[in-house]
Amino acid sequence: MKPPSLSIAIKLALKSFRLELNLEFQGNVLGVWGPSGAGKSSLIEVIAGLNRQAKGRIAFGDICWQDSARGRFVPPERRRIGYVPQAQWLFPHRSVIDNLLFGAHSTRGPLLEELCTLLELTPLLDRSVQQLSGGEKQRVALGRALNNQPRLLLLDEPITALDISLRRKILPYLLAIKARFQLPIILITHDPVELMALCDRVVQLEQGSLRHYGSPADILNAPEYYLSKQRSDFENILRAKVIEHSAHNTRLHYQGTTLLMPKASAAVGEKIYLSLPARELIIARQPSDQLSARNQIPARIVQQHLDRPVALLELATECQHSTLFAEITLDASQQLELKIDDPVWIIFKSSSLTACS
Amino acid sequence: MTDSLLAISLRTLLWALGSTLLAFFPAIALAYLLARKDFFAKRCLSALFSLPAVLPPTAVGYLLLRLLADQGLLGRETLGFDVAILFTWKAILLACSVMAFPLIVRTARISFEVVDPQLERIGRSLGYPPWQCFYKITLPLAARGLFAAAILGFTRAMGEFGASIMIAGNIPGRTQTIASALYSAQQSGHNTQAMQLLLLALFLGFIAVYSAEYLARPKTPAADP
Repeated sequence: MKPPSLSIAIKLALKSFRLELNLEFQGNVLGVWGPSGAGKSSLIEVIAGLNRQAKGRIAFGDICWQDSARGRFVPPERRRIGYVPQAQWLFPHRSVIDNLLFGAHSTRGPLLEELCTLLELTPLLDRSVQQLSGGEKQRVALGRALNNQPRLLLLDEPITALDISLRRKILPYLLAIKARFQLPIILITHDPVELMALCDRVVQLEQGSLRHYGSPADILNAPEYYLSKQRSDFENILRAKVIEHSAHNTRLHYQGTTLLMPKASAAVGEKIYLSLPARELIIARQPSDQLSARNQIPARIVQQHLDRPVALLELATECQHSTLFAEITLDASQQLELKIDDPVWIIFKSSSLTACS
Repeated sequence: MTDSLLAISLRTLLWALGSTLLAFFPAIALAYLLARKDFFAKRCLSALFSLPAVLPPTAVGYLLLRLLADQGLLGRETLGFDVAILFTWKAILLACSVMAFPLIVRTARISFEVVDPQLERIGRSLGYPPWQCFYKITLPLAARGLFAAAILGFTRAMGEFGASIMIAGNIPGRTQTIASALYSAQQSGHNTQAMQLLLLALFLGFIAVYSAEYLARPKTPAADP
């Protein structure tokens, strides 16, 4: 069965600009991407019905939630949504279990049991909310939203870079929810890994307007994205399959080649997401068996960006032409006389790979 | 002095309780409105209802007297019937409620303001209409502050003198409170009785303020109700 489609055509005046969006989405997870203050949270609030200022039309499936022209507005409590905001997730006057049961459609049934297992909430149930860590609170908020049996889940993610490690802890749970529930999800995220791992389509907002609507790879491989990143900040996201574990290493299958990384916890056969910072890549004309670095992938230079203190190379891997970015010094780029379309080898240490999920 | 100390204090406590109850619910409603909603003339409304706290109580009393006088807005000639409040115990209730009202509003407003409105929004997303969000989320989280507000209102009502004396007088056995009895005792030179009334006022006032402080102390709300 196809998930219900979400159709949005709204305008909303914000402090310094106007949020204006026309969008049709039918799929599992829609990512919302963009710099802070681009209007992402406002968009989620408008969809939830928590911001009544917006003008326009929103329909979900065959139900019209808002139609300003006809004066129709369905209040949030009748939209059957799950909403997990950026912070202040739980009711402080209730215990964890009472938070989970808080909801007009929530019950203490098999769904709750399943959610407790899926989100690892069982050991937390009798605690007070004050005793939970940030990540635990967020999981409880997620469980509470899902236990209310929503038809659409809206997730707003914390913004700061400091929260990235917290963010990545929630990722496996979000993947589990995506796999288990046939539930459309709208996810505001600032983490490229989350974008790649979860989202089917992505809305990129800038100053309240739609900058781009496409696949996660489209957004992350667009030059303006990596050029906007601070130097040494860009991470390549790789999806690879675990082949085998040895005493200290894990062998992975990636795009027709084999990669080596420090021992990972994922099971053999499992597909995992890996982060590979662009600054960790070495570019060579020839492969070499005289190096300690364990990973070598043949590739081709697609694009060079030389207008920065370091050269940024856009590379297509030989086998299935997935894109990787490498940062090298301008000197190195000149000395190797790198040109577009040149075949090269991408070399990196196994420890440059980190598992994200 | 025909009244016993006990009768005076019981009557004072009863009237203070009555006027607190009378003022409490409209004050809570106004406090919630001021804490949560933005509307035209909000500041004006807030200032207007704060007036009894800053005006001389006798001025408030005189205003009420003019309103309730035969030709006043709420008087016999305007309404067509006599509300028959002036110089009865009902006038005490009215004066005390009016004087306690701004204090309750102020304290209650602060206790509503510290409850993050985001929690109500989450409540809405979980399927509860606004009144249920108020009842299930905001009210329990603000409960301590609201209780403290009620106690403060109660103490204000118990000590009320200026406004009450203007519209209820100081009639022993009928409209006399601890405050007005103390005044009478001192005026007529009954120093022993004045001293007893003073001690009584000290005792009751201390208990009330102490409990208000205790309830309003900063503390994260209990995890489990």
